[in-house]
Amino acid sequence: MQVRRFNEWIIDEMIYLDITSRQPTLLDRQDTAFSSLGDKEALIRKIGEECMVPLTWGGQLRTFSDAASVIALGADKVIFTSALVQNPDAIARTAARFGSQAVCVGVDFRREGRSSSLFINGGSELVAGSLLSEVQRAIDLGAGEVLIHAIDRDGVGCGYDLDSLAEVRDRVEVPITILGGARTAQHLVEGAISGASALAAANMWHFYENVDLDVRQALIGAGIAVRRP
Amino acid sequence: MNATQRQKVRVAVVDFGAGNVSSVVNALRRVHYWVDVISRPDEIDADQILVLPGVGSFGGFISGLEQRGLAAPLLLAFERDQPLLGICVGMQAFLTRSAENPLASGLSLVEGRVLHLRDIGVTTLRTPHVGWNSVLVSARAPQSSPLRVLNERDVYFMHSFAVPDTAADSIATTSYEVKFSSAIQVGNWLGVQFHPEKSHYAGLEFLEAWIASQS
Repeated sequence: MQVRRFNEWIIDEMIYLDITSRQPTLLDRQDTAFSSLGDKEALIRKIGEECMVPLTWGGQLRTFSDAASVIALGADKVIFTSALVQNPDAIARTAARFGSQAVCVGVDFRREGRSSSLFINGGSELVAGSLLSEVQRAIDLGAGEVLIHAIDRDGVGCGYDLDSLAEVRDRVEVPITILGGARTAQHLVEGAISGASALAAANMWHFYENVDLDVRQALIGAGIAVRRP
Repeated sequence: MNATQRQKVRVAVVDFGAGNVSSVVNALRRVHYWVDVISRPDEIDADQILVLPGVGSFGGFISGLEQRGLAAPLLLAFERDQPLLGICVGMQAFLTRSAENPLASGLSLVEGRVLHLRDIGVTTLRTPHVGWNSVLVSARAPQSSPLRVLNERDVYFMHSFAVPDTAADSIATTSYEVKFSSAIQVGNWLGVQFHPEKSHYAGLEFLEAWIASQS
């Protein structure tokens, strides 16, 4: 299964985002490779058991209770996305109980000109606010980290949205993770140089070979400190 | 003790009731056969080596220990030199006070106060301190300290509060703009600020070395 492969690579953290919309999570996808698992709880527990680096779980976390369950099942951190708009109290309660360091808030956006449009519910619903204002609101609620996700760049492989990073980078104190558009090691170098605290990618890690070695080599070559395993 | 005898050592993970101990249990199980989870005072035996993982806040952790009646038995365990590994807030709990929850009382085994990283001097780097960093073992650490397997390797930190490096029993420091104590040793109790259970192979080797050093 995926997590075992990633354990063998030198990656630093894993984020699982359940992006199922409006139906129960599909458990029999090929990449989960655990069609015998009875339910989502069993899936999270199994991934938690296998994962040897910090595990962040999110998607479908609507209440404090959802987050608490996921942490009890083995996640080290949780990530809230739509809850920032639909149930901000869940963020505050989770941070109060488990500490800000266990709570990440993700903001999905699409850049338009010099500003961004923000979305929840899998990019289906436009919401008010600017990237900066929503990130700040997340932090005020207790989030210890934020993840800014350029949904228009998902799968495009054109590199990260560094302009949007620049909008928030110097105005917030918490670590910022960027996601959306990474395809090459050089993209990650650019993200690091531009001040992102952490660089997230999906397709790049799933569909290409030797990504971890290429990325480490490029980051070290650019003088960026990377984990020494 | 040889390797076969060491297999019979009973590691007991204390579940204080407000967090996820499964990461710790899973990591320990990768390096050791006998790992139990305990949550009641009567489950603490003199022949166990104890692991005290802590997440969340200092106050929440102490309160969880007290609610389960675990504080007193743990202090008795300390008095009889029973080995214990405290992780993250589990290490911070060795002290008396934390700025995070000024009214809560820790186990008071180590002098000092846990402070917010900003009050220790972190002014330009981001907080919480979440990510990989290294551990510099102090000269006063025992030669056989399991921390030495972490030489030139990084481990995972996830915290906003820390023990200052001036703490009397500090045996290792970590630099995050400034230095803070990343490990303390008092009696047979070792506290680490980082999370070995989230630190990939480096963390597993540390846990294995700690178990070996206590048996």
